[in-house]
Amino acid sequence: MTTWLAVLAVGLGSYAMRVGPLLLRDRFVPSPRVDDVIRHAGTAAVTALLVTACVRAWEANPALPTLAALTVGGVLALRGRSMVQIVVAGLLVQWALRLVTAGLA
Amino acid sequence: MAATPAGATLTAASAPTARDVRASSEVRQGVLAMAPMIVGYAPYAVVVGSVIAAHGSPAAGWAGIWLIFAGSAHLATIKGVEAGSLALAILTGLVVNARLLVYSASMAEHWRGQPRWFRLAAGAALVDPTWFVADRRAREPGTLQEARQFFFGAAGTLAIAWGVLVTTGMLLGAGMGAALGLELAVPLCLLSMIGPRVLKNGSRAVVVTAGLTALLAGSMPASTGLLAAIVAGAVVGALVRERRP
Repeated sequence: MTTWLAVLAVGLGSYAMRVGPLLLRDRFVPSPRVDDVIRHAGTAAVTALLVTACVRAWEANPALPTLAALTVGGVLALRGRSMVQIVVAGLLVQWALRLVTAGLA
Repeated sequence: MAATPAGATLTAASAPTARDVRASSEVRQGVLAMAPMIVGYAPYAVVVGSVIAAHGSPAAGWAGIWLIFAGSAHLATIKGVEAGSLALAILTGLVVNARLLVYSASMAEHWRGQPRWFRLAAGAALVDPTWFVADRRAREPGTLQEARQFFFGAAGTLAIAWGVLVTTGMLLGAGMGAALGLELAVPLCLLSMIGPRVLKNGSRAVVVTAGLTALLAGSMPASTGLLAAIVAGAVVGALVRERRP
């Protein structure tokens, strides 16, 4: 029951956050400065999620394979490679280094 | 009338019009834009599914696929319930999803001329990957109708695939995703979204500020560090743009 309540509450709250600004835009037109802040907020949000996810992955997995996989992913991302290439390359590097470090141990 | 390869005929009424062709093309473009993201997010979806499978109430957890429709908030909510506090579970889930306000506000300008029913329906599917492709599409030429068709193609693809993949993770079992280190797929997916923006002058300050703030504020309670990072990054981005000649 607790899980149902939590899922329903977060679901309803999330829908309100998703739809609220879309519907209120007709009534409130933000100033150019606020508009500029909003324009950058999406990139900031994805970056904040990225850092949080990196920290979690770092804490939950062996350090060296994780660091190597994220480094490879970062280099490929800066070179503009596709998401599929980045994910596949990163995971392969992680698995390969896990096997090597397990073998050495 | 045009003959089909199978020998049947198409009447004028059933033959696809130029408008139909454009519509199916936009839907297809939406599907194609989302497809690589599905591949990238697949391991993460399996991890989410395996966490739900290990939870005491898998049915409620499964319903969260559709009700919450955001992997990180979904996981945070489940973990909050497991920690024994309903209030903490709700607060953490909502704070993690607070970025949806930003995505919605950012799309509000692009979708200003869209009908209300579309904004109500599309809002339900607004999340990181759909925002990313919709924001990119909105900067390209096209009509409002084409933008709608593109979004439905992309969001429909994500909704179906996400549901199937999380359910697959549930069926494969608890701990499977973690054992394979699949949670690393999440930062790798996000890296691919942010990487090209780091090279742009206007976005570099946003990425650096939000990244450092998220790192330093990571220990703040109930994931409020995320919010601090979003605000800091967005404000610095606007200031840098203002000062540029």
